[in-house]
Amino acid sequence: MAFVLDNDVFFAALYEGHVAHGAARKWLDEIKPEGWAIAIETQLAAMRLLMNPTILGKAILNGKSALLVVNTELAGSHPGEVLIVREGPDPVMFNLATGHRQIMDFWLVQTARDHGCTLMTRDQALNRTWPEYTCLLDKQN
Amino acid sequence: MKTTLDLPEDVADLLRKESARRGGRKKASLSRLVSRAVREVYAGEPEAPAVVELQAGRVVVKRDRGMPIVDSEDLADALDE
Repeated sequence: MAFVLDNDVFFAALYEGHVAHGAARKWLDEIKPEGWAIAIETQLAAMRLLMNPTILGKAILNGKSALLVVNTELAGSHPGEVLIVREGPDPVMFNLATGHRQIMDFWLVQTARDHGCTLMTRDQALNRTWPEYTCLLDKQN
Repeated sequence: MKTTLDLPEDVADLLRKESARRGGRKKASLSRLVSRAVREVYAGEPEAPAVVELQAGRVVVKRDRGMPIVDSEDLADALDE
């Protein structure tokens, strides 16, 4: 497994209305043979977004459909792994956090790092903070 | 759509404070905050769910007319609730 997708990149690949859909979909289709994964938190985030009217408007999915969407993406000839980290937050990483919104991002970086993977993101600030463990999607296209 | 709104002072004040709380106008412009609030409050009952192209290993949730175009900040806001 080479890449872990963050919430934004994974959802962008799924939803045609995301501004980065084309780039994320193309990249994910291309790298699947190399191995890919998402954190369990990203699986749940995608479901939440598919059921949220501020994201899908009046066309929100129900829980059954949202789970089907995510699980179908994870299936196929190059299935994605769902990663679960048993250790807690690593102080080396989390001592650098300055805002609450960084916590989940840092957790996804730790998840990728602990599995020997690179986190694919569109978050430039995250990439500046953790260049050794992250890669910017926009540089791949 | 570009438009001009005549907002009550308290609403304008709330919008300015919320924008500052979320990191300023670059991250949370007044347009973004108003759009999000309107979608939340006036979305109404769900209609037909989005059309989904389902293939094992490749899923696309189609964007029909009336469905939002979203970016990273929209997702972060939605997940930050």
